[in-house]
Amino acid sequence: MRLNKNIKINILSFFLCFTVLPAVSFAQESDSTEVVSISKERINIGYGEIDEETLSSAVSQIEANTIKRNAVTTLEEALNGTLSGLYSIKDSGHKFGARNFEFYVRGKATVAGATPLILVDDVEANINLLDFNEVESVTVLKDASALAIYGMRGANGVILIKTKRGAEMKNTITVDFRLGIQKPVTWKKSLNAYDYTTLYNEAAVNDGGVGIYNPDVYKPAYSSEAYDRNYIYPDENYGDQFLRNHSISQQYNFSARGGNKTAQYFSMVSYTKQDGLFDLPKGVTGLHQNSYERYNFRSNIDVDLGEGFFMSADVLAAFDYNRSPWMDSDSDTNVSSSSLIDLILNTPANAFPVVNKDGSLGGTSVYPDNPQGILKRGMRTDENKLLAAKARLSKDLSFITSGLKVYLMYHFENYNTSYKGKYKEFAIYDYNPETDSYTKYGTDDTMTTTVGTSAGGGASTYYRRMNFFSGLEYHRTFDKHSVDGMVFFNRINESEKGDVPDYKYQGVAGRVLYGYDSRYFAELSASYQGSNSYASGNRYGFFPALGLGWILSNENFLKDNEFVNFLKLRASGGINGNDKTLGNRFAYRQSWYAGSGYGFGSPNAESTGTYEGALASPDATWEKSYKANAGIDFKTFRNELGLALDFFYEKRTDIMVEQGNNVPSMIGIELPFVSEGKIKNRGIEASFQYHKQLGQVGLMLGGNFLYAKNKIIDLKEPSYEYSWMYRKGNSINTIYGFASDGIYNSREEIINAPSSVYTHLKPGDIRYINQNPGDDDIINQLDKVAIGNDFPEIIYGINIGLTYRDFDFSCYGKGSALSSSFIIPSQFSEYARDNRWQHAGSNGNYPLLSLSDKHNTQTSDFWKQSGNFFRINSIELGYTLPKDLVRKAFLSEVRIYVNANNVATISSERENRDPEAPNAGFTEYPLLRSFVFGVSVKL
Amino acid sequence: MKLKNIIYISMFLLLTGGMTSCVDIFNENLLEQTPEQDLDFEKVFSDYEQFRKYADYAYSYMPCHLGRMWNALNCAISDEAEGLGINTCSSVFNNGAWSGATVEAGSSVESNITFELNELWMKTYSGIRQVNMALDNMDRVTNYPSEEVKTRIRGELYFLRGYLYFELVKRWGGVPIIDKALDINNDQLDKPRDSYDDCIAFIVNDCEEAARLLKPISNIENGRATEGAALALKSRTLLFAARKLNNPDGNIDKWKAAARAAKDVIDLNKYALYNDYVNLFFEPVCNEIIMNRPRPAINFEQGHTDNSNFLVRFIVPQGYNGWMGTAVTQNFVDMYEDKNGYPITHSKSDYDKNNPYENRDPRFHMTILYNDRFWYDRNMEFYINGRDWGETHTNPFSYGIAKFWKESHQRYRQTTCYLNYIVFRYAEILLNFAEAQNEVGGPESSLDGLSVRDVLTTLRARVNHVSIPVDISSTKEDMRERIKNERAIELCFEEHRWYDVISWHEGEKYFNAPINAMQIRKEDTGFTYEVYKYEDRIFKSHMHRYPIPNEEIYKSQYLEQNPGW
Repeated sequence: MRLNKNIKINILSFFLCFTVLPAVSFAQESDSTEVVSISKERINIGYGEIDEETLSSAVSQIEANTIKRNAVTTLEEALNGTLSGLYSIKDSGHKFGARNFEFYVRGKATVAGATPLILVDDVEANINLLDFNEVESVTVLKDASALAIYGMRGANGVILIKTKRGAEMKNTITVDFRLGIQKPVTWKKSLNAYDYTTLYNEAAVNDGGVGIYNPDVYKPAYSSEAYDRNYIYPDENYGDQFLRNHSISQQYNFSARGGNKTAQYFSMVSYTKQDGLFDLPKGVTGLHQNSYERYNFRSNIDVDLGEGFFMSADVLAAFDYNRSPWMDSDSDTNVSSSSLIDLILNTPANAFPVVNKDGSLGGTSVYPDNPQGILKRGMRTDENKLLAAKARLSKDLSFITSGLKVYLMYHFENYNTSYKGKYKEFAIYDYNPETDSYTKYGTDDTMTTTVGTSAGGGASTYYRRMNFFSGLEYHRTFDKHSVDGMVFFNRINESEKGDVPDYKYQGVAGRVLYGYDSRYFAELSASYQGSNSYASGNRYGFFPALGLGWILSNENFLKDNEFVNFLKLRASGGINGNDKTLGNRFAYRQSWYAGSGYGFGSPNAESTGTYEGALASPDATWEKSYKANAGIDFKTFRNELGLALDFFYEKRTDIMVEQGNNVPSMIGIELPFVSEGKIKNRGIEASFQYHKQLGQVGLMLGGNFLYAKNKIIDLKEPSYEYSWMYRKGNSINTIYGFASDGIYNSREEIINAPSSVYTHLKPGDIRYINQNPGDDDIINQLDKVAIGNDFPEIIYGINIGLTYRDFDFSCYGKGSALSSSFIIPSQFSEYARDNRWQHAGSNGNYPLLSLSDKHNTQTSDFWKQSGNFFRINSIELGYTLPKDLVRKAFLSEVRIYVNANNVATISSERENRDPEAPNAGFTEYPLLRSFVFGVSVKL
Repeated sequence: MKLKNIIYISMFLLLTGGMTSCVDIFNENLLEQTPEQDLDFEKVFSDYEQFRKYADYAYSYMPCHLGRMWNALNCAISDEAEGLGINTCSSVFNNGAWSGATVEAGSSVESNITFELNELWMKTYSGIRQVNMALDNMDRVTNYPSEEVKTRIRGELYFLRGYLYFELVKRWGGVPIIDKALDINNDQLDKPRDSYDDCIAFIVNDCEEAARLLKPISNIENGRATEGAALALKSRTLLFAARKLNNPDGNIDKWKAAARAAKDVIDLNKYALYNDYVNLFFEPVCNEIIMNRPRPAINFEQGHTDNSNFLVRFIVPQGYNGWMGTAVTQNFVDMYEDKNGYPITHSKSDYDKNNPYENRDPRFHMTILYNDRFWYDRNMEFYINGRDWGETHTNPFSYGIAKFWKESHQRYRQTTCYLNYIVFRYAEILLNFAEAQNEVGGPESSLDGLSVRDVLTTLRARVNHVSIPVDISSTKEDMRERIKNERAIELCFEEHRWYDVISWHEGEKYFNAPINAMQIRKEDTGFTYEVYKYEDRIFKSHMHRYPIPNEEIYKSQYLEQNPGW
């Protein structure tokens, strides 16, 4: 969506009014309507569920209803701005069957791996292939108290995904059908041949060369022998010919859910298909389109076997076919599709005619990749296969003491990918008008097939996970006391592709929640976990945490207060760990490597060599995270308005830093990472929920807000020459680059200017500021200063829900603030064409064009833009058919709806780029905007 | 409690215990892991087969391949050539903007100059450690095939250590001498720089030790250090030590030592000039080569040591399907004498600026790609809009390097070719001798019967070039200039000139001068040639010694930066 700044601001303020004002006005006139009671929410806290009220830790959760309205095809999409405290960053163009978002819980507190642990039904699992229809809820665990049981894997937070299960209920069969159109959000606008050649010539001359093109021949008005002109002077828009502006998506989902006292089940099968965006010109056949198909099966069964025995058996199978035109064997189809998009959008318009006069494919030795040839030559299919099974057996031990259970749980997950390529090489022909002949490059070959499997092959991956848990659970309430406890042993074993030793974890973890009189709550949790990645003696760690809660509104002095319906204070603190550290995995021992070294003889024979790896780091360990959280939950206006506010603080220690920072290289050996770094992270998290029923109109408003700021305390940096070189004191995502002061407008300005390590300065180059003018007269690494931060410190999400009779409406949005972006538009872009420096007095938003520039393309604040944005993620309008009508057709519920996803983004990014995935639609597969029509039928 | 219940519980406990018994759960052995590779210190330094691999690997730390800077040839940092195209990194040297500042990997320009600056410092010390580790521990190995093998390896290690130190010293001057593998816990890890003279003495000592050990060894494989290589290194080292930068007072004894060291190599009587100058670089082995880095025959896309597309990237013009990464400068082309041995600026020269490529030193044709010369299957087109001048990979200089490109080896023709990296060849030794002996006693002086002029005449006769005319080489000073010119031409593009010029302390003369290029137009009547200034280059006095990487200065209490940086 292309919006100018004024309109953007208007829309933003409109949304603010829309969200905030109604909340205020409804709050004032809330006396007339019935009280909406909020049911007691059950919250998933990892290996168990508890009432939200008793919770003393920091947790946020969304349910199936929200998930369904936000997801298009994958579960990830539903976590986008809907969960308080969770960052979801779309960091590249759209990918099929693969991770699309990077998640972080409450920001980052480490320079190493900061992504959270993602668990499905309490075991680590791949969510890229999950169907969102099988998910009951998603919960984010954020504070020490909730995370302690995860040992050295908990410090970055945990995302818990709970799949749907049966219940003692009427058998319900649901059929969902969705048909959608997906449109690329942005396509780069390619330059026409006249503009391209003009800019190319200008750049060549600026570099001291000669303009090699005559742009005039590309002018439409140029009147030479028009007949052959397009073959000799092509002006192609490859994007128009080979890319579509929409594709179709479809999804069919069938699920059954129900149960009696003895057995309950949830079972689902689903099929998803998304078409791709490649195309061939009219009249040309033989397209190898890209497309994505996925099949999902799930069956979760719970059986009461009698005599206190319960058994659950869960089975998941998912597989997909990801097809794309054949590019190469090294990457996967997502990368191939992106590189083909790059090729189509960034091949100069005059590179070659797609088809020569004689009907053969055009191309030159410099541009041998004819998109028509590629799209017709063949394809590759990547398959991802996921199979998981889980069994849980439990026995009620109430004969020992009431409320005690023992259980065993075993889980197995197997994932692998493979691909098959079927393609032929093709030749291209370069027309030479002087001799009226063609030069042929490449060969027209016959079909070849390549296959990559788990055993080998570049693109194939494989893993297998096993989890074994056994434990005790205890739930009991007596008098005013409630006790909710559990303890388990666990063992996790994960094998990966390649010569990598298995990842093994084992240990014991437990938790006791104690409540007194529904007023005072305490939560003590701890784990003692070991990992095989560390030295003997350093393998196990103890991770304790304590949480306290006090529901003031249950005290006598507030019990009957009209204004305060609910008020709770929460506090927690404890130690978590993170083992996604930098450096080698088995850092405690020195590695020695075999490598191909030097050859001797005549002719030589390559001889293998041996060399030392980095020295050992005997005390290497996981990061320790000391977390504290204080929160307040408040409900008022007859529970219509709920507010939550949390303050958090985290200090991360034992962050791996390079020992080599402080030892001169004359030792001649790579030095290891040592656990000596420190970073802190702190912030505020707030959310609100508002419900109101006004006659037949129901209103729901919600919002969440997070401010998280981290600061590097110590990374054992060397003693730098200048203070601005230190990362210490700045945040993890601080960007270092040059401070700029406009553009050099004349030779006179350059004479006394500091020289640049990157170029011979010319007028039109960016004027960087020399930070150390007393010491050198050069712009170089020493002049890089902190110029911004590319990780937002503020994120927020809002949602609006409206119901009127049988109609329902919802809208979800998310945004971020306090970050900057540093995207540099290509020199062959409309932006460069319109803004480039040509002479003193040019507008100067883009420096002098160059074919080989290295100066102006350095990261600098010249290119800095606000990274702030607001995105409307999803809008849905639904209509539930009247029950009477539906019953006549022997159905219980029919709902039809339209949903728009990734509707609009408001940002100040140049060239209409996406602020999170700036290359999407430019050099990568674009982001998609979806419009879905759906019918949901319950039998 | 019912019996049944007890049984159930026992079963649960059994199951639980079987998988993760309460005793075993904290047993660290369960988490024990076999290493990814089963090499360690003990294994490497006990068995000959393992030790041999370790010792041999030390060779790979020699900065020995032409494409080692990845995005420019070393000759493009000197006045011989210019790096062209998007990826060139030589411009940082050309425009005087190089420094010891941190170089981030990945930022395209800088990350490549690091192969000549930061990374080279680090890698060379890594090589020195590898050698020291091997020397310190080689007596632990008991099963050498023969005592001779052990002696040979020891000799090679001394050679390598000397070579690596020389690579440091020729760039940075005096550096800290580390003569054993440092232990991180017990040794002093920080050290001040040793003096230049101490470093030279250390290198010479290593060379002599290597030569002594290697002398009796027969049958050394091609590529390995030999007595000749050790003496050649000593010759080069002493020559550099006698030059102006390192011998500002002109101590004549240093020149005498250098002349003697070169003569020692000549006196081995093992080496001779190879009669085919062009194919010298494409022969896997010949008797001019004292030491080279052996490589398998490469196909056109391969590189000098790896798949770096050496020819395509650096050498081949676009008209021959290359990317034309390196152009030869007009400045360098002008250094080729005319066919009578006179500089083209000399009054007696028959140089014709309208026909500039006729009547030149025969090596001009052998080493330079220039307009209208025949190459492979046609005449080269370096005129504006000519195929070799290029379309997207233009060559504004109109010259390329022929020396490393065998004419019959062409892209898309499935040919293969040897491409030597020559570490030492006999011609260099002759030039070392001529330069040193000229300083000792002038052009007609001789050492043990070998005179300066004779040596040069021999060298030029190999390419059918005339002797240096006496009227421009009768004094020591005139001859000095001719020897420098001869050295530039004979050893061009072989990673000599940049280091030669800075050790002559003449960086400001050659590298702070405008760089000229040739523009050629094709007219109906033939070609017109016009020399134009391509760029100004900057070289300041302090640049004769490299900057120690700033990171090293930051990390050390003792390391002193070279003055001016």
